[in-house]
Amino acid sequence: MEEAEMQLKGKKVTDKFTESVYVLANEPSVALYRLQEHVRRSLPELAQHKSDMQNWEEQSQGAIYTVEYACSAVKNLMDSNVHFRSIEGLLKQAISIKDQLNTSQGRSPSAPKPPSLA
Amino acid sequence: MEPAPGQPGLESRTPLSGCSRNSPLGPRPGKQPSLPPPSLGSGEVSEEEPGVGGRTQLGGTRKTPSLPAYETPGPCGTPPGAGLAWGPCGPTRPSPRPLGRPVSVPQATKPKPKPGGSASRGAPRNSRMNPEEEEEEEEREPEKGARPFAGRLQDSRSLDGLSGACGGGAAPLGGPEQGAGGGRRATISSALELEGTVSRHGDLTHFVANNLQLKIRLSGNPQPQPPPSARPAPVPTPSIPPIDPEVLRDLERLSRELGARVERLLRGLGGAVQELTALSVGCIQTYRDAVDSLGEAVDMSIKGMYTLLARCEELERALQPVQGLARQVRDIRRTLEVLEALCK
Repeated sequence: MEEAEMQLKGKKVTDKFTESVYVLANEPSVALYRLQEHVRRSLPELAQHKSDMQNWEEQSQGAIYTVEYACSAVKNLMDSNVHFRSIEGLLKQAISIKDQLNTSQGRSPSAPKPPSLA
Repeated sequence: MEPAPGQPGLESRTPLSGCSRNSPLGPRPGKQPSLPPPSLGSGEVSEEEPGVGGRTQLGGTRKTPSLPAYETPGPCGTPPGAGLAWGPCGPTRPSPRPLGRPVSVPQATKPKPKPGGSASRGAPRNSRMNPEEEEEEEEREPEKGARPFAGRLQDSRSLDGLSGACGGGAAPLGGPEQGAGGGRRATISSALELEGTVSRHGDLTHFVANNLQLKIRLSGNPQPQPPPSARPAPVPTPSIPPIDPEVLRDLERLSRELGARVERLLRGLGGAVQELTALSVGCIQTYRDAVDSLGEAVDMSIKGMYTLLARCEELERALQPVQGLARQVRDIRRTLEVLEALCK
């Protein structure tokens, strides 16, 4: 009887100790498991977002270059302004000279003009 | 707990005046060691048991045909003396001073009103304290002066036996007390009466166990011992086996071993947890790197967006003079048409 009582007491003590050891070892284990579980679940999404971002970055870089080229082209286009002015000036001069020629030919020989006109 | 020096004198003064409690002695101050029975003729009240909290009631001259087992022969308790002291009451056993065990006196019920302390005791007593408890004894001090000390004579007889034994030598005071006690006893439950003496005085109930030592032993020992019979000295319970000296060493060794195992267990656990932590640290670092790179990618994307915005603005600014150019070109064309018309 005493033996059983002692056994019972010893069992109680060991049970309590086991429970405390269980809790002692379980808390950090469960915590770490939750951490790695969260990491495991959220990493693929993060990677997806990263790849998306990189794609957009690439596209935007392409657009940037395009705009850059266009901008430089337009700037170079503005350089033709001088030429257009000179062209217009020359054209006006040509018109004026032609007018003068026409007027001088009309006054001098009016007869030979018509065959030339025909 | 030895009897006060004054006690012997008192006792001598009061010969066995039967069980009369009233002792010519004045009230005793504080705890009174139980007077040795032999010297008690008048017996002072038994000593109080501070530990017990009960006061030993040294009733007058109580004959104790058989001393309780727990009673230890005190310096004052001497069988021969007791016999002498108890003479009139009958054979008296040496009532060694018990360890503060009060001497129960059947007629311990003091006729005198008890002080408040005793009254308080009476209350619990009314609740019928178990016989295994210390024998309730009335306070000695107040009645000490009134009663002769009979405490030592703890008898295991019932009240009847006590009264019978003390009847002849009972003091005149004891007589009426006995009668009164007997009358009161009738009201007490029979169960208690079997275990001891119960008497009631008004609100106070007195209970004197018959064999306290036996009860103590019985409570702590599954094997009941035969009631001590005329055993003056307390005998160590024979049921307790001899203590093994190896027990301590074994205990020490086993506990040390247990501690070593526990330490090993904890170390193993710690190592496992450290491994887990390292793994988790690597995992979390990977996560941190992933998040950092994602942040960088997002930053780059945002920067590219802003750059694009700037370029577009610049382009818009650059496209504004193109209208002028377009006008110029239109003018040139018109002029050219005019010239063509002139030339034709």
